Amino acid sequence: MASTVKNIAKSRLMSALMDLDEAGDDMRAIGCMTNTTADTDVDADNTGTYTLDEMDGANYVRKALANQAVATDDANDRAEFDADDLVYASLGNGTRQLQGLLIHEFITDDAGSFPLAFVEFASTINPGGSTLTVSWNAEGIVQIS
Amino acid sequence: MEIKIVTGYPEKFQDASGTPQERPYYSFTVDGVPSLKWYPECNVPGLPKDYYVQRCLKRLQAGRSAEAFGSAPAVAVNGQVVALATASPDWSAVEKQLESAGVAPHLREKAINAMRLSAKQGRGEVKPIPAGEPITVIKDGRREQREQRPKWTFLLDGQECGEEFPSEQAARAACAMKAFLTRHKVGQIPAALAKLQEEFPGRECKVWACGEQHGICATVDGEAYSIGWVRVGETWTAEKFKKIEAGTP
Repeated sequence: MASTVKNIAKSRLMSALMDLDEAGDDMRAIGCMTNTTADTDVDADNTGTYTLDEMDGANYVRKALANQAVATDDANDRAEFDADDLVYASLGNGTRQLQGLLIHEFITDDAGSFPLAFVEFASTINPGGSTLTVSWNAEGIVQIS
Repeated sequence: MEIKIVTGYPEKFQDASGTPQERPYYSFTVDGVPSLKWYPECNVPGLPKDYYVQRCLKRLQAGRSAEAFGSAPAVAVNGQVVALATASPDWSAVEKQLESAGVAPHLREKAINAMRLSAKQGRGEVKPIPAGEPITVIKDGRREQREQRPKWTFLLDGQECGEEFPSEQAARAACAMKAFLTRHKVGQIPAALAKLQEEFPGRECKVWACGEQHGICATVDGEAYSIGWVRVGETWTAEKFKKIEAGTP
């Protein structure tokens, strides 16, 4: 599968309910292993609806995105959402390999939180207790064009 | 390649109480050409005002570009990159599959464009140039055989760049920047100018990237023309030109 932007996020962005700026909503990343449905399901209205198959390796935690920013790319006719790269120190292997990250707008708990996008790695990965760095692409985490 | 950060043109807006406010934006130029990419001022305590644009530049210079290498993030373990999007689907093979499945040509094109957009994968490929034969050097009166270091080059959309780089990282950075500068409208300025000159032969035509107007501007004999762009595959092409009448904002 590939990275997907969730439909609920598109409508929340249009209704000005989801604010991706640093001073806006609390966007967080959830590590998902290969049994997740967060990669394929674009219709889910809240994070609690997914089978997350959340990463269960040692030292894994959900992470809040730091320094969120929205840029305008006039040359490409699009907007880009970006944040600082994520670093997981001494991340152990999970039950299954890590497939990607679900980015969601955190509100109290999974059932109340709204998914933005699933960002898939180019290949699944076993971190093996090392420091795992996820470096977002130069043109942002999510683009709207 | 000279890269400069430029402070942008303030955006005027009203805050929640309706009071007019201004906020500056930051952009960057490459060899004087505006990138047409705009970042808000960073108001996070402890970070520089131009933090966001700096972050983008650092990433491009590190060879990370959706234009060149797809949109998947790079994943590094202990600093060693282990998963980086470099795959380039063979779209001609995909089209053949669709053709054999009986899909009409116009629908094949639509399907492939849709797949291309969703995959957002680039066509950049960095590859080593095989090192030549070992060279013989004479040091302290003795002959020594030294292995030559391999050099690196890149292909973009299958086109050889024709340059050599001392490291894979340097080639990757150059490929990312090249893709960034050619995969969008800025890279289409020469083609747009040629089309404008074809449409208005013998007249003085200009097409340039304009930072102030956040876009590509055109003039014919000094009179402003707007450009109608259409998306073609992964890039843009100037389709038509329209004179901007006086009084048009």
